[in-house]
Amino acid sequence: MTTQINPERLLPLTPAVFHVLLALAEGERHGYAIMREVTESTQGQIKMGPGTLYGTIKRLVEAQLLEESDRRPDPEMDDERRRYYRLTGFGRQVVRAEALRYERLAKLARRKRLFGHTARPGHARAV
Amino acid sequence: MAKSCQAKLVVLSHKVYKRLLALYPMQYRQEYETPMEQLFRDQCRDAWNEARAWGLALVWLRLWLDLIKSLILEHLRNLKRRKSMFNKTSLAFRKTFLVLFGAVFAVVFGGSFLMAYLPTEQYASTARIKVERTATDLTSEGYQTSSVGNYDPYFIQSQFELIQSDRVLGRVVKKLNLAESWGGTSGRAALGEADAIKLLKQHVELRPVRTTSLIEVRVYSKNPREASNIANKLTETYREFNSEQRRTTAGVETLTKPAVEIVDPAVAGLRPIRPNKPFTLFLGLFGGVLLALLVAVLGVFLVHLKQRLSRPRASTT
Repeated sequence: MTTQINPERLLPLTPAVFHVLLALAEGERHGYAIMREVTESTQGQIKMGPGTLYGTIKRLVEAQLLEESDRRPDPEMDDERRRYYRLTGFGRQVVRAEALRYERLAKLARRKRLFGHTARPGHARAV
Repeated sequence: MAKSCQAKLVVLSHKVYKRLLALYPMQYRQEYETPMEQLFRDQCRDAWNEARAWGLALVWLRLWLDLIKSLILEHLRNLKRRKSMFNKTSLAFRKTFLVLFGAVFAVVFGGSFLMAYLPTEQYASTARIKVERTATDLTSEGYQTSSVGNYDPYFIQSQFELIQSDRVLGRVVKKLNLAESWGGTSGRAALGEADAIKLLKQHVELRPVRTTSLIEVRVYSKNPREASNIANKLTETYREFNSEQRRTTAGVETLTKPAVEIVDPAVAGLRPIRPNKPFTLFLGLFGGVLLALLVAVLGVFLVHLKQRLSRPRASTT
């Protein structure tokens, strides 16, 4: 039996966790595919090694945000020992809540006019 | 040439990495060793394809940081998990121990408390009499006796029977009017003489003082004065009875009748002797602690055994 926790209670997520969950938002992936997706989606800002990636996956599985998929690739197409992971319903709620949090932050930043121009140090705009 | 160089370097990297994976905690390795190896192999292959040896070197450079960080984290988590499991287990054991210990101790000590305070208090009074055969050289059998004045268990036993005989006890009942006084306490007007004698027999205890001609006449009663009165009256009555016997009986046998002397008259007891409260409470306390410890340790052992049997064995795959 799973005890349903309010997704908001797990926020904010660490960048590594958020990106792993985001990488799985489109469907099942194996470890290396998740790693590449994270690197690509962050333009190389977040690079995870195998230890960090599987440590994160382990904790997410324990927190019931991810689950291992039963799917195994065709042995002719890929290594059948690969493990695939997917988001659980709760994991999807959590990643959505985190995305909404970022959205609210982005809106706030927009209201503060942080977007659209870049203030250079020493060149304060005249009010 | 490049193909075989790639193969060699990737295989070597894979071998080294496989050795390094042994540094992770056992449980973590059991779950993720294979996919981590697989991932590293993929990384090495792609890095080689992108930038040859330089790409592989970059993978290794990043790997060291990742390895050190994740090793520390996983070992810390493993320690935390073990500590939490230990705490949970010891908490369950402590709980079992305390519940069993408390329950058993409460039952035993509570029982001893009830045994000490519920029964009616009884007092005892003891009188001592000396019963000896009179000095004579002849017995009814006509030979010289050697046991006159000496301890003779058979003789003492026969005096016990006389003291507790209906004739002696009946006189005591009459003199002290016990049938009436005991009848009043039992809700009836008076007891029959036979019933009073029967009841009196239950109150009287006779003990020989070993290797002497002394007999201890001990009487138990709820009332200390009644106990001493009965004890004194019983010894007096027995002495009278004995004298009468000596006077009325003729012949050689008369000479061998015992002479009775009251050595110590009974006095009223100051403290009840039944129940022995300090002893009963001490026994309840000491026995309760011992029994509770035994049961609690056994209970903890059984819980531990049950947990061990129900724990799933670690998968080796």
